[in-house]
Amino acid sequence: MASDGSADLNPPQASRARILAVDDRRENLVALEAAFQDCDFELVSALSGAEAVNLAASSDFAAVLLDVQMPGMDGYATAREIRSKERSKNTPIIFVTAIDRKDANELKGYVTGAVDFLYKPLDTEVLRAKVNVFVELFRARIEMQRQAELLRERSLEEQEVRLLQRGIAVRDEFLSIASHELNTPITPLSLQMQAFLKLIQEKKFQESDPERLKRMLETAYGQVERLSRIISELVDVSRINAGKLPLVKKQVNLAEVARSVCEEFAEEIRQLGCEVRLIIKDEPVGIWDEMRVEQVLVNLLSNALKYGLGKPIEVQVECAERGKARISFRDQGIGIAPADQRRIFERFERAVSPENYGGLGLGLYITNEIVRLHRGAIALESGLDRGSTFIVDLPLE
Amino acid sequence: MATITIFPSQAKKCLSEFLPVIQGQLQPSLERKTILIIEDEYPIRQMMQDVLELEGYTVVTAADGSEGFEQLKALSSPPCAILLDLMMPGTSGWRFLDFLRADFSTTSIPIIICSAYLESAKSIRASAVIEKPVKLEKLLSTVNSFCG
Repeated sequence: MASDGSADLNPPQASRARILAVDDRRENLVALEAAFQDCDFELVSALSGAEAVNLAASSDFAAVLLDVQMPGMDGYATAREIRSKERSKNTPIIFVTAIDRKDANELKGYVTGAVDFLYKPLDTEVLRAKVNVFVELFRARIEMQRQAELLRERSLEEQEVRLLQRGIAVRDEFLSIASHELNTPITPLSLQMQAFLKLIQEKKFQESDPERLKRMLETAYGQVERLSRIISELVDVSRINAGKLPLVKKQVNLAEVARSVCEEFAEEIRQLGCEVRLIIKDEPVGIWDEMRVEQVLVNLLSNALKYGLGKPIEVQVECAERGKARISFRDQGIGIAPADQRRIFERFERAVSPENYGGLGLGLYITNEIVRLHRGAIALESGLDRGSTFIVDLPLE
Repeated sequence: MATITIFPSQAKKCLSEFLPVIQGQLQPSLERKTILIIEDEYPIRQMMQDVLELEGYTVVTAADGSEGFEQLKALSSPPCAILLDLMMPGTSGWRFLDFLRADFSTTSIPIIICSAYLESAKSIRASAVIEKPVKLEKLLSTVNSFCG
């Protein structure tokens, strides 16, 4: 602790009060120094009004002892100047004057901001008592500022803690959803494999209904694809987080991508008994990453199917203003409440419960990031039970 | 939420419709044993149906609790067991159990809970619990113990 002793001997600069004494006569300043010799504050001297104004404007003083009669800038002018500076506008000023009390213009002094008048010859005890009052006030003010600063720091820390806690809660929920999503396909997958193994071991494979065996294999393969989708979403998110989602750009016709995505979904659309209208107004060609643009279209179309309540969906491709291509997906489904509309583009977020709608809650986040990487934007028009329209604008180059 | 609030009246109706049928034929059927699967995930439902049918069982399926009641109602004799998922949209496994146990005649049907969340299955008086992901051996041995 010995090496730390110096810190204790010297109180922090902020609590070391300073008094500014202003007098054009050096002997008066020396007399003041003598009067305050054993006081617990620092006396700073200035020989002119101008010097005092500069000193007061560059550091904090508990009070200014200001001589009224000075050549050039007198005490009143100095006081006005000190008052006009931001830092010293509230510094208490005590005028010191040799003029007889009845001749002194005390009112002028108070108007210029004086808090007190002292008359020479100075009574040392009175002087020390008065100055000490301001020193104590100064210390109290510094302490209050310090407390306020501490409080502010603490509340900032608390805010940070709350943000971190929210982040942890969101991630925990994501982990529980992700484990459910990863767990679900395993049951049919492992049942199929074990059932086939059992059939082979019991030499019943040949006599089993080939239609049934084919269906089981198809279902199992569907689960492998489902797991692959989940894993590639997780890979995409970690790439996005690392800022390493590479784009392989080339000429792409947005209308063609839209056609092929709609064809890809034809079977699912048929199964859902839903109608998807693809309206191609223009055939915008841009320089994009075709696979990623396709991913955007797949995500938005599958969302429209997932949340569209089986009602007709409209997909429209057109040229937007200022060299942009636009594709929009309009469904008539459950819609998104205004309060949730920003949140759903965040990682792990979804507007509805995972119990009713599967998925990791990463689709829109990835979609938005891909569009952002192409310097495009996604707009959303929706309301609860009013369907949703997602509008993607992509700059052509 | 709407489906849940209107459900109790539907459930009572379902119960009153199928109860006389079940009560009339409580003796086990000599034909192939029937199992009812209530599971919202189509791939799980279909795969369980296939593997149980390969074992010679007759299987009927439902995607949630209400559909489960419909299937019970349609059966000419009660199933030898019900494989029941808990977390399902619409009518959950817990609600299905509430209504199943509201009547003495349906409480005797063995219930095999199939869930990834064993904790949430603990409070349930089930005949057996199978953890997801489901292993074929466990599925068959459990089902056989009630239906074999």
